[in-house]
Amino acid sequence: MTLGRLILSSLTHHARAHLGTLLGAIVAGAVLTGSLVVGDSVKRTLQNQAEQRLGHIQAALVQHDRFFRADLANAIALDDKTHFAPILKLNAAGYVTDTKKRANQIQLIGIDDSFWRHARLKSNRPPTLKDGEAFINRLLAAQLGLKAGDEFSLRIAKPSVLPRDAPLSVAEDLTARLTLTVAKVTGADSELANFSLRPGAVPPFNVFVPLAWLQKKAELTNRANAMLASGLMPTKELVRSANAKIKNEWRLADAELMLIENGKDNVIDLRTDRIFLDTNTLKATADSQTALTYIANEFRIGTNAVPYSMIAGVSEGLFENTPTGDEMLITQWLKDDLEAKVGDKIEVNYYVLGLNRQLEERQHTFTVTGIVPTEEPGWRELMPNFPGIVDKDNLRDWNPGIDFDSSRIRDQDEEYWKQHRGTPKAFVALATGQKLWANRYGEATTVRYTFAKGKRAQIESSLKEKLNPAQIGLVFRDVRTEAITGQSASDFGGLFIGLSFFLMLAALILMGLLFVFGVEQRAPQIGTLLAIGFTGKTIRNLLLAEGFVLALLGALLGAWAGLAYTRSLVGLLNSDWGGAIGNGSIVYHAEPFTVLYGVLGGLFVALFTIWLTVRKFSRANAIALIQGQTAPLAAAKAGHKALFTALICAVGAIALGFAMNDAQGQMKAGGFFGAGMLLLVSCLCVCHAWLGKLATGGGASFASLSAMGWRGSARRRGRSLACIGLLACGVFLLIAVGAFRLDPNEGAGQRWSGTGGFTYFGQSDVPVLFDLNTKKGREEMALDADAIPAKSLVQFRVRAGDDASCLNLNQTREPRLLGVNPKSLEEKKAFTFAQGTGWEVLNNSEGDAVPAVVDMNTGMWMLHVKVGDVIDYPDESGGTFKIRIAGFLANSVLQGDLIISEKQFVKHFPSASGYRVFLIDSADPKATAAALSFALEDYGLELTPATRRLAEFSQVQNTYLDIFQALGGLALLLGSVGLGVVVLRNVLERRGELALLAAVGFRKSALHWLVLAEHGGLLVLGLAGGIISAAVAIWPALSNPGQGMPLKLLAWTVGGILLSGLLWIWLAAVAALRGKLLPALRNE
Amino acid sequence: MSNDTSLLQLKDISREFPSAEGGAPLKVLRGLSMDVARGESIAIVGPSGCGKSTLLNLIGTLDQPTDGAIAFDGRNLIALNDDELALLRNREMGFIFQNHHLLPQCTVMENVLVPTLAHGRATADDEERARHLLDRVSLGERLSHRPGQLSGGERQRVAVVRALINQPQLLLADEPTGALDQTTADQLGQLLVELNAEKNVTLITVTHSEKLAARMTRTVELKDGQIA
Repeated sequence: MTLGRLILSSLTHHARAHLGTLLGAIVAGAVLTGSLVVGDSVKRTLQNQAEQRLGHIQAALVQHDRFFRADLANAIALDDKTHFAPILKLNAAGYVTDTKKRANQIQLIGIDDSFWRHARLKSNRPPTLKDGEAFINRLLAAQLGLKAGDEFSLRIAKPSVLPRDAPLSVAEDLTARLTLTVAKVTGADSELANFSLRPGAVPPFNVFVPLAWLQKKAELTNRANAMLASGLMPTKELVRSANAKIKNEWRLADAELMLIENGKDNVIDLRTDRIFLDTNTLKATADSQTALTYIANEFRIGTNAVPYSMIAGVSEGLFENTPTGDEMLITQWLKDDLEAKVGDKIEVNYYVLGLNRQLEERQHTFTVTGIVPTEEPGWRELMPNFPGIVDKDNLRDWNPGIDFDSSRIRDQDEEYWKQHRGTPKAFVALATGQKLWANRYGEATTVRYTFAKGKRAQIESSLKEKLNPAQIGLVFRDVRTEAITGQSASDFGGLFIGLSFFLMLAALILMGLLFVFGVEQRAPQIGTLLAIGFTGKTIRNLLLAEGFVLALLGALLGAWAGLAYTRSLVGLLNSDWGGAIGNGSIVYHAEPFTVLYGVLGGLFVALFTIWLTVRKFSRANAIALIQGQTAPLAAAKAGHKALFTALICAVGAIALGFAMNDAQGQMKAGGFFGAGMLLLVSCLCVCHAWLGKLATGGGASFASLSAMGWRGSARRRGRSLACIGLLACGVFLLIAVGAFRLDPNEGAGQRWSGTGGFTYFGQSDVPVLFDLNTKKGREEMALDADAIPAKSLVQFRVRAGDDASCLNLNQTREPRLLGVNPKSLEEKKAFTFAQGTGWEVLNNSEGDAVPAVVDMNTGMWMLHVKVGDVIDYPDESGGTFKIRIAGFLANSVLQGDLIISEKQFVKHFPSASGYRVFLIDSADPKATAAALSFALEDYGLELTPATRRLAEFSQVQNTYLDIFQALGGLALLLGSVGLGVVVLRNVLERRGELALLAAVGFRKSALHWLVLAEHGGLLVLGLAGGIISAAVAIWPALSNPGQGMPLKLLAWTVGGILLSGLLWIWLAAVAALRGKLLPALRNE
Repeated sequence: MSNDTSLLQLKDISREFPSAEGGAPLKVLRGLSMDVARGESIAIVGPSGCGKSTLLNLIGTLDQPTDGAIAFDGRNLIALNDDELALLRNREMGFIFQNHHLLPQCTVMENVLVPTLAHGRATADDEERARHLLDRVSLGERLSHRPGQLSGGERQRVAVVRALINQPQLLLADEPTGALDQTTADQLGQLLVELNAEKNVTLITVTHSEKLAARMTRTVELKDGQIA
């Protein structure tokens, strides 16, 4: 005989009694393991997605609105095993003329053979693409209904080296149409069909075309805007080596800079196709002559005026007496034409371009301080290659990006253009010129060096040394390491443990109850063991050892069942609960270690629960146990302690409620939730004390059958409290969580709602350069003014980034950035701020951090930030700038984006032209949609009703609530079973006592009523405690848009639990009291 | 306090229980003193509620007196901690209750050996002794039977053997024949007396049975918490 044998024989002998315990442990283990494996599945899904979108790609260089030489890929070759592929990636909208099918937000990717080195090709022969042919991915093929051999069209935003928003750029010919034939619908696994450098909820629509062909069509010969890298070396080393190589091998052309040698005029000019040389470049050329040449609409002295001329601001050195301040040197030609003389005042009119291409004509007056020749060598080259001007033979043919009145051109002006081209007619101080004409794109148009043999190479070398290619985006970044880890925005394992927590808790409580019932049945035996010399600790350890075997078995079987649980969850997430994971789908995957953790976790929680139930046996009284008593009478002291704890918790709840009344957002919600929890604990403590008082004979008298029943509920205080606690917690959580359900249609037309009161949310592939609220803007876009009244649109600039909405499972580091005029939203009082005072916060810069507003869900769950946090965001010059979270929007259609002021946006992203996101008001949605769709057809405008967009986002939260409530419902079912088990147990234990009542004349119905009153009281106490606490917890949530008191839910939940509870009690009472009771009396 | 012949000495023992209503405590034993010699067999008798079982529980260290002193084999029981008391109960005392409280999952042999596990493990000697004792009580053929397969008298005899397995000096029996019919009760009473003599084990039994009391060498009658 050994202790082991004793434990084993106990287990086998009490196998039936242990079955319930084992089932409880299995449920708890299954829920735990299953939840953890959901995390594995999401991780594997994201890893698969990352593998599909990246292939072998480890690092990528991506330029925004800039283009480098595609040859740079060859120049930076490291070794035979490392591959670089230049690509030209453009936004496009696709359509099929015959079927009228459309697809927006297409990635049009120009590739060459080097691209296939990054794909996991199954064949040794890379696929070949001919001009005019395209590979498309399955997603696009399905959207447009295409197969190999079909023809389709793309509309692309025609790229421009000169940003479209830059002064004097031409806002014409913005898009181009490409007609393509599908060569093949490529596969995601082997042909990189779902290529994307950004993690997204779903793969993008992809079209692959020959690089050279696209370069030609886009008029970007030998240009690319992204480069891919992969090889055998570790990613970190690859990034380091490639960036080091770029630093050596890049050329000025990669920064869109050019050095023009002019031996005839003895000068070398540094210029750019972007017209304006940016600050970084000028810093690198600080000791050289610099000029800023601009178009003057008019030079005027009195009635004499000269239209459309060049004027240059020049630094010292170009003239002996370089002008300063408002001084001006004029050419002989201008002097003659204006009949001017030294000392005269000349008025100069010129245009400046507002944020959305709004032209504003300004005037400045200069004083003539000298006359210079009409033209000197090198002067005509001071005019940059203004588009619409530089290639024109006649002045009257100019088509500049400003209002141009050709009727003002005189013969002498035309003659001047023919003879002197863009030679400036006047020169002013560089500083003055910069003050008037500098803009966010740059502060000069030419940097001039004196010509000398070999000087060009010297300048280039010097510039390369001083300029950092990373500042213009020529820098590789690791795109693989993080993506391939499968890190999701949320810990799905943890999330599902949270969602299933109540189910697990219910299973554990039920398991604990069943285990302890089983043990209590053996009380006299345990008492005897104590009497014959076993210590309390030994008894407890013997029971724990029994429990350990059950817990281990439960955890092992639970883990096995957990895998089935995960499969069910994954199945539901891919179907009925699809709303929780946005548009994606997840694959089932289980890691052995996760299952092991599940087993260990299940074992721990089950064993801990068993320990809680058997720990009292270490202090057990042998005499009481031998007499069959398992619970001593409650001591009055414990009741006092419980009342004291109840008081502390209630005071804490009230204090927390007051403290959080003025708090904002999550803090307020969290605070009130905490207050509700404290109140719940307080309610349970009061119940504890009250039951204790009943147990010791105080409180209710035996004036009625119900009162007698009440007294009975105090006999087993632990059991009664377990029932009350289980029900109260269940009701509390279901109601509290249910209050967070969002109704996207609630107040949809109101400004405070999640739609901001807007009718449509629009996104375009091609930026709209004009303000569509203005007459001019509508005219430029041929937009029906009646359908789109003034101020009916709010326009956002867009810097592409990750989708940080809750539809995307991936972890996002760089969300899409929107720039908006805060006034446009503030005037409308659009949206509700969960935290923050309003849209004006976007104007309140503190230090160098740019204030930003973000949807609260995006901030909390995707970016993991809180208001006041500062994050780094990459800017256009290759560095980063700081963004301070200044406000949280309550559940809104702007989820997934960071929003900053337009002013700050253009400062940090000067090259990002136009507007691509729109919020649209409409009194006649159909007419508005028709007008906008017609006018912006070539821009790939996609209009989504704001309520539908909000509903998609709300769907995620609502589906999680569905999951929680479904699992919570299961838990409550277990809770009801627990209540039934407790009733059955209580009644069976007291069968003799009830038999006595029968013997003294009580009818069976009266006994049923007695049992019902006793346990119905527990039910009511549990429900009341849960409801009161939940009401406090959801108080602040009720004031959020889309949320309200869930009366219907409350009624259903409480009613359902009440009915189910009463049913279980009745069934248990009937089961326990069936048959003849008098024999039980005899047994007694 | 002890001498060679005295095994147990109780001096001015009182036991009070707090009232559930918060009133005056319930005094069950009031300054009771008695000496028990080695090998003696004593019947404690008296009306219900006079404190018989309370006295037995105090002697068996399952309960502590409110006042007074108990010495067992020269050791002051009041000074021992829970573990020491458990060891004492295991090695030097044996208990027999009105209900046998055998472990239903264990065989007769295993039930008898259970006390050997409390502070160690069953040895071959223990098994041999168990076998011998079970033979002695005519259960030698029922070693592998479970309690459910035995009669009430047989179960109680197993409980007696279980109480003797660790060769205690003192055997405490609380209404050992209370749940048995007259014939079986007589047989068990006889067995207890014989074992008392054979094993030289001191026997104290609480009983309402005059027949059983008459078999003991001494009868102590309790009345109102004192020896009458």
